Parts: sequence; structure tokens; C-alpha cells
Amino acid sequence: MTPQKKNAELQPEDIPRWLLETNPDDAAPFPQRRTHFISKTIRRIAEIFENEFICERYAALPNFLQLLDARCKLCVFLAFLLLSAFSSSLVVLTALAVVAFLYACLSGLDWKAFLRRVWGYVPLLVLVFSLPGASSLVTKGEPLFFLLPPGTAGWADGLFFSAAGLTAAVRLALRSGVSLSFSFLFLLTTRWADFTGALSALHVPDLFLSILNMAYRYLFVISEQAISMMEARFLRTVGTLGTGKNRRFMGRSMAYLFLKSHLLSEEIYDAMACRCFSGKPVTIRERKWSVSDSLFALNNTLIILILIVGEQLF
Amino acid sequence: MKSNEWNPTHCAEIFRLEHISYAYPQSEPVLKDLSLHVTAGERLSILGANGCGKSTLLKILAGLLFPQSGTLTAFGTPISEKTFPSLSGLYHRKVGFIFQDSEVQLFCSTVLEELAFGPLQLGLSKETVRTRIDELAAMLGIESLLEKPPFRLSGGEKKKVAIGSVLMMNPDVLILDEPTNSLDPRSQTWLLRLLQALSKAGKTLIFSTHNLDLVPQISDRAVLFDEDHSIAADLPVRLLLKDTELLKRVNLVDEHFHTHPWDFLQGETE
Repeated sequence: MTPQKKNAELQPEDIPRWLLETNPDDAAPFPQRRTHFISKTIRRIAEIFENEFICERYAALPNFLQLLDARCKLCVFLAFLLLSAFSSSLVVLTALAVVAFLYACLSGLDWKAFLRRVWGYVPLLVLVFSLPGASSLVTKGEPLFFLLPPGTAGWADGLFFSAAGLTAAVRLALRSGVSLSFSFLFLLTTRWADFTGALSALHVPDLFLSILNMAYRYLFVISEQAISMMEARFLRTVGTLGTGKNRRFMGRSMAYLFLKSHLLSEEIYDAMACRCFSGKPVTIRERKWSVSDSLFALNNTLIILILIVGEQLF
Repeated sequence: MKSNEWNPTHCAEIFRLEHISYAYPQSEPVLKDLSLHVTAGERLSILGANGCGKSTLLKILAGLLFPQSGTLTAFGTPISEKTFPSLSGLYHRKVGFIFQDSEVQLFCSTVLEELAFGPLQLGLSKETVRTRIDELAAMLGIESLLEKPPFRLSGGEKKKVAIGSVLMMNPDVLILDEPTNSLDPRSQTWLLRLLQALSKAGKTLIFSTHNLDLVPQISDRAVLFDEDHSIAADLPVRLLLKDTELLKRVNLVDEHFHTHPWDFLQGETE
């Protein structure tokens, strides 16, 4: 429409002829419905984030870890993480993984989903990627089993895995699993406001907490927008698009979302400023250190001591 | 200026804008040589076609943007980007702003935290805040939503929580950007009644809208923007809405627009 016509009332003759025709364009190939990996992944991430973090599905339950003070939980879990970082014993690491699993069960978390998310991806990948380092290429030692017997392809010693190499790889995988377990456990069983409150109590800088808050609150909004963009594109896609076009679309979508999130963050900050935001997280919920928190801390201190002493003795 | 030197309590004139202009970076000016004043207890609607500068004006009044030229006086005190940081706390306490998009205004994990955010930032005690939440939630009919995350609410519920989160700070001036957007007719009527009640309580109401049915119900005076971002008229609502030629000229309505006598009668009887 020309600028002169912009303000005039729309007349039927202004509408293009083809727009008034009701016959669909049958010649165009029908779009094939295919499962798209990226949109499926984004949708799944958005679902998990919405259901389990934003809605505080587990954090709102009146179960074991949920009833404890977030500061107590954070300190105990940090102690467990430190122990796992400094311990080289597979028994200690396994014990820590069992403790985390028991706490997950006691807190009413879906134990199958917990095991799948914690142990099903990252530790497995860590194990796979550390295997070359565990082989005789990097780690020498007494051969446990050979991949290539001695003398093959000019290798006098052959290619083998030693017990020391495999132990190192499993240790790495266990450590990542234990770290994930406790982080996941803390996130799922703690309300966000208490979570940031606990970090604040540990003197984590306010700026960092503000960024964390923003990311938490708007990751879901941004992921919803990403899904809408994918859906809009799907609805307007006839036939199959080439990989190059798909790549370009992804690039443009990411750029658009980046700009959009930048504008959104400015508006959110304005909204916070309008309500006198001082940069410090505050919550209406009372945080009180109760007897059960002390008992939990004491109990876990004992567990940590037993594991440390056990590692030294055996 | 320090915030404790600023005493805006007894000031009949809330805002005075003189020859202000504002342009976003790399854009044409959205406000050009605009002059306006708002007195305490007034009910003012800002009207105009899309993109005429209504939201920018509201953001200036809310202390989120500052005029690039001209002067802004609020509660008898000149406001500038330099002086504002020292009095922003008190300013935001006195002037509440309800965003057009409730999504950006609801950033806490639950409705309860959302309502508590402002007063806690102001330093009110948790007991006072809890009492206010209970009373306000009952008034807004959102008691059952307190433990829900704001993202899960319907459009009308989000708007209620957004309004509640601002009312918790008990501002003297309430600025609403397109308050009836995305609300169903029932929620619009609810909002109308709420705004009328707040007005009766002495609050100053300033809002932008495209909903001309709403205008005579909750405002006495209307400022109409022209498409060139200047003010085309500043008149009592009943006079402005009767001037359909003017409304057509600024592209706010088409030739089918008309008003009913009861639009104005209802506003008077309420």
C-alpha cells in the first residue's frame, strides 16, 4: 500500500486479486511432518525448566531436604563436593553417589529421572572421552586387557588398558556424577528465593546473583519464543529445506533472540527499578536455622569424617 | 540533591513538563516540544495512534527515561538524569508504573514473592508486608495464586498480579500503559471498577489506551497525540471524544466511530 493510501479506508479493489481466490495452490508439494531435532530439544529443555525449576515442582513438597534451611544444605553439599574433588578412592566417590541418591529418594524426587539425568549423560560422556587418556598411549601400567596385542603395527607394547588408567577414567566420571548429583539435588529441592538467599549468605556478589536471577526468570520466556519461531517457520515451510537454509535460519533466529533478550532485559530492569530494586535479593520467606538443620549438618559431618578416615585406613 | 531534602507530600501539581523532546538512538524524535502538567488526584488519559509516543511519555513520567531537552518537574522538584539517582527510591515509591506487557513485570518465582518484592526493597518489615499481601490478595481475588509461579497464570491473572505488585507500594500516582490490553471484557470491567475506586481514594491516574470505551469511564481529561508526535489536543474527555473529526485526523478512529451518551452518564454516576 502506498503512503498516500495508508490512512484511507480499505476498499475491496485494494485487495490483490489472488488474495480473494479460494482455490489452494495444489501444485505446491505438501510439507512433510518430520521430527526436528533442534525444536524437539528446545521444547524438552523448556518443559523441564518450566515444570521443575520455575514451578518448583519438587521444591514445594514438604519432604526431607525441602524442609531444611537452604544455607545448611548448601554448606553440606559444598563439603561433599570438596570431598569428592580431593578423594581418589572409588569407594568414597561411590558412597557419595549413594548418599545423594538416598537423599533424592527421601526428598520425593522421581528416582528414575534422577538417575537418568545425573548418570545417563554427562558422566558417560566423560568416561568415553577420557578413555584415550586411560589407554597405554597416555597411562602406563600393568596391562589389564589388550586392544592391540604387542607387536601389532610396529607397536612393541601393543595398545592396552591398564587398571590405573581405567581407574582414573572411572574416577573422573564418578566425580562429575557426584558433582551433578548434589547440584541437581540442591536446585530441585530449594525454592529459588531461598537458593539466592543462601548464596547471598555465603557472600556471593550481588551482581552475580542479579545476573543469575535474570537468567533463571527469563530462560523460559526466551525458550518459548524460540519454540514459537520454529513453529511459525514450520507452518510456512512447504516441502523440505536444504541444510544451508536451515543453518541460515538458525543463525538468524539466534541473532534475533539475542537482540530480543537484550531489549527484554532492559524492560525487566526498568520494572525492577520501578519497584525500588536496590540490587540486593530479598525474600518474604523466613529463614530460620532449626534443630533439624543442626542434626542434618552433624549427621553429614559424621559421614564425611567416616569417609575420610575410611579412605586413610583402607 | 539528597532524597531527604525532597518533600513531595503536599504538592498540588504532580508533574510539569515544559518543551520536552525525546528520541531513541538512530531514530526520529518520538516526543517533540511537548508541554503538559498533571495535578494531584487527576484522571488523565493519553490517547493517540500506534507509535505516536504515548509509552515514551509514560516512561518519562515514571522516571525510566529522561527528556533530552526541556524540563521535567515532579512534585515541585526539577528532575534530571543527574539528580534522579539520589531520589529514585522515593520517586518510585510515589509513582507506580504498570507495564503494558505483564510478562516483563513479573520476575519473581511465585506470586507471593512478586507482591512482596517492592515493599521489601523499601525496607518494610516482613509482618507489615505479609499483612498487606493478605489484604491485597483478598481484594484482587488472587489468594489461591500466591504460591503459583507468575509464568503459569492467564493473561487476566498476570495483569491482576502486576497491578497488585505496584499497589503493594501504595503509590500516589498510578501510571498504566495500555491497561486493558489482552484482557477479556469481564476483566476489563473489573479493572475499571478498581481504577474508579482508587481514583475516589485520591490517587492520580494516568494511562494510555486505545480502548476509547474505557476513556470516559475513568478519566476526566485526555491528551491526544498527533502522528507527528506533538500534542493535538488537551481537553476534557467529553469534548475530545465528541470531536470525531479531530480523532480521525490523528488516525485514532475511522468514520464508523461514535460515542454513546451513556458512556458519559456512567462515568458521572460512578
